[in-house]
Amino acid sequence: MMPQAITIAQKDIKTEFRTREMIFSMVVFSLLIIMAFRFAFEFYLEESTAATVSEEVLPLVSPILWVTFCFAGMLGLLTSFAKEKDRGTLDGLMLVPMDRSAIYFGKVLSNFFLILIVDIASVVFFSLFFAFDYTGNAVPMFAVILLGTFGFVVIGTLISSISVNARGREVLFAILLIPLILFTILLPSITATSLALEGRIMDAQVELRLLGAFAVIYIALGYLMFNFVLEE
Amino acid sequence: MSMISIINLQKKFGRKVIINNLNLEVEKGDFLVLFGPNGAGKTTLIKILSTLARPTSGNVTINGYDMREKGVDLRASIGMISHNPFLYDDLTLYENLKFYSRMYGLKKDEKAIKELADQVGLLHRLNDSVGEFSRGMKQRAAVARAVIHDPPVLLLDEPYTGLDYRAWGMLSGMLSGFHRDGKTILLITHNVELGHSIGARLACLVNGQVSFDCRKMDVAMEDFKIKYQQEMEAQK
Repeated sequence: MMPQAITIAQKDIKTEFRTREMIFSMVVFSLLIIMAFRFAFEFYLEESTAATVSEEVLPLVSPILWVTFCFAGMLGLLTSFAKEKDRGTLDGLMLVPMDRSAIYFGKVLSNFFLILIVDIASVVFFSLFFAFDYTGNAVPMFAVILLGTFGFVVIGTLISSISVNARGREVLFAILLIPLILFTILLPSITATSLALEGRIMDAQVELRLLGAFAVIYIALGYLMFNFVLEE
Repeated sequence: MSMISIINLQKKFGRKVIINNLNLEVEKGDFLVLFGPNGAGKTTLIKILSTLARPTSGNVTINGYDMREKGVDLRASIGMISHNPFLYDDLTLYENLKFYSRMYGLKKDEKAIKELADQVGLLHRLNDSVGEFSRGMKQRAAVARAVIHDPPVLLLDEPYTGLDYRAWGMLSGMLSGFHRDGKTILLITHNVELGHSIGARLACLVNGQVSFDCRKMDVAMEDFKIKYQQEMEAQK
């Protein structure tokens, strides 16, 4: 199953870099979200009495970054199965003699890779627009981003496959995904990232365990459900 | 030996019965053409046979593999060609065939893929994006994709849709070749003349059931056309 999953992921990444359809949209969207936040917090930043720019921005970093990751990432997740369905290639994958959960794992791998690129771009955009310096805490912050993004992609890919056959799939995708990730991925990731940026990653053990546990639960759900999700 | 065995197959969408207790056997090496008007359940049947759709009740066995218990082995025994080529427009023909070869767990090297492309007359376009292909070329590429794992059974759902006269002839030639090689073929179409000219056995699917089934040698084209018209009237 894993060789086929890797083959699917390689194919997705190759076609994405050739066409740059989604990665470009996701990066531009993340830029727009960060710009919108920058203008929205203009007044707050002007009124702040903090000693340094980084200190005054610190409470904003994590929530803004994770909202950006989620909304920009949702663009990519939504189209991950929709493109295959609309171009008729999903049936071609389903005809392959393999456990069909390989399709799910392949999509998880490629989505994870592509959304990580968007995450990195968002971190850079934030640094530029808010003049924030990550120095010193970048490694633990990226560790949390890796774990949180993985959980987000694992459940997002499953929801994308569930909604692909629905008529209003864009709406259904968002309605199903946001409540699911809110308490299991988004809030723990925001807290853990904030603690990482404050240099207190060891205080984020509960959040990190929660993220790890939900990633495992969602992978198991994806593996068990996927065979039934796509069949008519 | 029966290569495709369909037993009491039923498919419902809500209350609507699409396939109604269908029973059908296709012998090894046979070429069955299944005709039927729009809405007769032809595409639904092909989707069930290829495990893309789940039947409401009944069962299907292909090459001895039960679709409920041995779905993976069943899929290894079939090659499917429909009006959709299942190919990636953004990849070249070589990349598409290499992708499917790896997906099927085959270790086809460049030479083997070139041979496959040559068989369908597309060797000269091997490194071109499939998106640049004409409809006929895409369909030939789809044939290469479908037979990449040398399946004993070919399922064809309206593969001639949108093809010009030349592409039509090439596809018919390829299918006749596969039939001569001993592959079992199930072709679904509503084109009576095409089906009669290429198939060995002819059947009509009306209201989700096989209503007429004969060998080609037993019925002349004109008689079959009349019979088919009558069956279509019966569906109305």
